[in-house]
Amino acid sequence: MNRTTDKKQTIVYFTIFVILFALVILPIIAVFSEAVIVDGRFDFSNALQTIIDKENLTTITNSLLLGVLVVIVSTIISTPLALLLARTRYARWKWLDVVLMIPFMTPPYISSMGWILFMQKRGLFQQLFPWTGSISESFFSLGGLVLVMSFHVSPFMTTMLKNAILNIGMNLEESAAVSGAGFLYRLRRVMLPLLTGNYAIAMLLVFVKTLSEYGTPSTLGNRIGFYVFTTDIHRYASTAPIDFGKASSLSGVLVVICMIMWLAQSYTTSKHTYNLVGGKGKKESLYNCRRATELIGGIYIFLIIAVTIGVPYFSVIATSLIKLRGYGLAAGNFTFQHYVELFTNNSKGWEALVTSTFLAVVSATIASIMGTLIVVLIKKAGNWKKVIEGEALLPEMLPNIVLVIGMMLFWNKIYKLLPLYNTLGFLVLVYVVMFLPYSIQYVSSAIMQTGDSLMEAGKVCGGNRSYVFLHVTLPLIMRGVMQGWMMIFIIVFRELVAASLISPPNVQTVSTFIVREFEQGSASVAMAMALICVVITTTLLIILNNVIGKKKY
Amino acid sequence: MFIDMRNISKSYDKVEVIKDLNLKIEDKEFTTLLGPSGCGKTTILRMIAGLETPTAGEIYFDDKCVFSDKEGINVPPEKRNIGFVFQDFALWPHLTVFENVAFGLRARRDTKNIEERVIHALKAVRLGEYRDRYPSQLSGGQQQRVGFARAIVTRPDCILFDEPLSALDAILRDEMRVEIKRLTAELGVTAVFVTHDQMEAMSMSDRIVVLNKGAIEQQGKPEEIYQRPRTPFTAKFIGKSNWLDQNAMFRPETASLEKKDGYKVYRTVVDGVQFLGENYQLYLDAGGKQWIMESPCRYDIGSDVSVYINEDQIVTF
Ligand SMILES: Nc1ncnc2c1ncn2[C@@H]1O[C@H](COP(=O)(O)OP(=O)(O)OP(=O)(O)O)[C@@H](O)[C@H]1O
Ligand SMILES: [Mg+2]
Repeated sequence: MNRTTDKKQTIVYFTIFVILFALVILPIIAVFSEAVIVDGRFDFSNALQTIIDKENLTTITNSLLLGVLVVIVSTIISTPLALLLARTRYARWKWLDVVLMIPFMTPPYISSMGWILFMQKRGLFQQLFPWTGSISESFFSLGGLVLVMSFHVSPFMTTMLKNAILNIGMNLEESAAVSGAGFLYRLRRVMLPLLTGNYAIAMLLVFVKTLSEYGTPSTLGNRIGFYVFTTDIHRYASTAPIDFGKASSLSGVLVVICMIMWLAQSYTTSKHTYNLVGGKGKKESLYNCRRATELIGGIYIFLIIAVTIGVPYFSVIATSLIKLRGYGLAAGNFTFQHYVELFTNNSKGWEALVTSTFLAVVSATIASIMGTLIVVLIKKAGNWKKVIEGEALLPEMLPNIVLVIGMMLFWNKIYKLLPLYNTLGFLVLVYVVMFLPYSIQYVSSAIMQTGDSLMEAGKVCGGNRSYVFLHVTLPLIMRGVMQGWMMIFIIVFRELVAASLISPPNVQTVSTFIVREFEQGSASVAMAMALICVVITTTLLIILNNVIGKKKY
Repeated sequence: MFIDMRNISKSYDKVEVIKDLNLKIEDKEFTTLLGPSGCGKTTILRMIAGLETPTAGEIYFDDKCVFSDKEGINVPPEKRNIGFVFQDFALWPHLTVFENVAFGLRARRDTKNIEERVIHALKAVRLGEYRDRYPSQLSGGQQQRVGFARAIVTRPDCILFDEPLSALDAILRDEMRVEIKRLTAELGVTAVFVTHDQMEAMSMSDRIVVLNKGAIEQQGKPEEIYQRPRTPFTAKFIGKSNWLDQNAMFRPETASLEKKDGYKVYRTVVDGVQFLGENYQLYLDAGGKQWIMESPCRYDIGSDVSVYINEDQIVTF
């Protein structure tokens, strides 16, 4: 029985490995082979040609340039914010943490649309400040694109830096101060050296995120003719003449760049971050600031909120309520009609909402069940565990668009075997693969917090595997499972890349509906839907934090 | 129930932590596994429970084989009918005290008179009133008692304890020692108790098994182990020992600071003194070896002291 259990275990591990291999690895292989195999033969020249094609070279340099600029701008935005939130009185205002995350949680295509509506010719800015002439239109440039993308990612960077600063603990700074170091000297000799690693990691992650981002480039970037990896891949894969070879070559390059960044990131994490635990429990540690400094800090935080949240949301809300756009912001030109239209006018909007809800519920449920099972089954799997986790978490490191292209190619090839392509089921499958890592991470951390001995106690008390799972393990990790579920629900609900590439004909999701209406000139309807989408997901997020987030034991 | 481990070995990743262990635990006795940290006590206990699979060997509960490497037998923990008290208590935080204790009965679908039996177990550990509390609402000692009630409610043939007292403070520990001893005696079960605290082992056990690096150094009654250690390791690990040379030692209380007939005298110098309340502990320099003696009065550091040793009580190896 000893050996047969071993054998049974191995069969379980192997099965999981094979399933994930088919779901995750084969699509990636499909991307690369599509790029280098032409008419059944290896042909690197083709891929190479695509890459050095002048147009594509521009795309590549554009992407890299955009990445670098966004990294710089978001670092500039985030650094003061992180310091303010970690070391001044604003650290006590916990709600700031939540509010400042809003730009990151807002789907980028929605905030970009908000910015476009705000800045464009006869847009809201020009209506509010007519005397500024056409100044706002200069927003439609690389600079504007960089700003919008930086606003989106900087909350992420702020949070990372803030946590790093909090980790440093005041004692290190205090000991420097006692040794006679002034504020700037301490910043230079203590804080910054300790933060270098964290900066490097945050910057690399922001770079990868920017390169992988599709929402903003597809709305704002395309409008100003600034094409990047994701938009070009999308174009090659969706508009005639469709050329999967080119899409794959570009995807390949993108994957390689992202993987190098991830490697650099994990190298930095292991080498250049300091282990700063130690000493007594950390007390709240704030600088004694002069009032003026505090005031300036407060103004800065207010400005950031006003610009990164105020502007896009004002745009979205105002546009969704304007009756006739020609009249603009004028008394009497407001209406709820667009919201009504969403649900009445050939009910397209309603259908999109239903489709997205369906996709989100089904994908989140399947991904959560799969994630939970995988985590629980491979808990004791040794080397298998590393391999399986590696497979399952890979989609998180890949740009979503690449994963989608890979799965399109792969499932197209085996269409005769499994006719899933071009159905809603395929979209579900793509989402499950794409967001399985979320579930796995939430469940893993939940299971890590429950010691082994709780399960072992269940066993010695006479519970068999399934009894212990149902009565001990599952109740204890349920919070993690639910958190993962909600997170996946929220993201799938408004996901754009996969929806726009592989929705079956005549099926619209919330995101494709918004984009379509926006592009066809019904900005008000689009924004009404955008607002509904944001309200639904935000409500869920609040539930997530308040109901599930509370620890009961 | 007696437990018989035959030729048991256990390796983790090629490192052998238990080497060819032969250990018999007698029926209804209170046996303590004693040894330094990392010597494999927990591993042995977990192999008995079925939580860890030996690399080789056989384990018998009475005449029933629960593990055999050769015959491919490995009865899973839930079928071994044992109680296990965990070092970290391992109470399920989402279940009430009552449900924690009832778990084993429910898992075995043995729910006849469940209320009565659970309450009975809770009363035995004097926690009758706490049935509806959650573990987080109990003190450490109470939590450990719930763990104990959980282990006895299914009437196991044997209860295994893995350092159950190490998470408790000194006073609670004394109290629980007495209680555990009382309850296991009342229930008449076989108890295997793991600890690295020699006082705990001495005071509770019928038999002590001294372990070192995954092998048995010596086993026997506490008095036997203390008075007649068979290896230097046992002598050093248990009690205080003063060494005459590499292979000869005596226990401090067998010697005297006053002249006695027939005792051999040794001259020493006082190195240090500690006040212990009831008396003083002297650290003596006996020609390069450090000895410990207790004395009713203080000596100055550097003063000469004569130690009289009963040669019959010297243990040689
Ligand atoms: N899961 C494991 N993987 C690898 N090595 C292990 C594992 N569990 C225990 N060991 C090793 O086996 C040896 C014995 O461990 P064990 O936990 O049985 O010691 P112990 O006597 O209970 O110690 P302590 O008094 O500290 O609890 C140790 O050297 C330990 O490092
Ligand atoms: Mg141990």
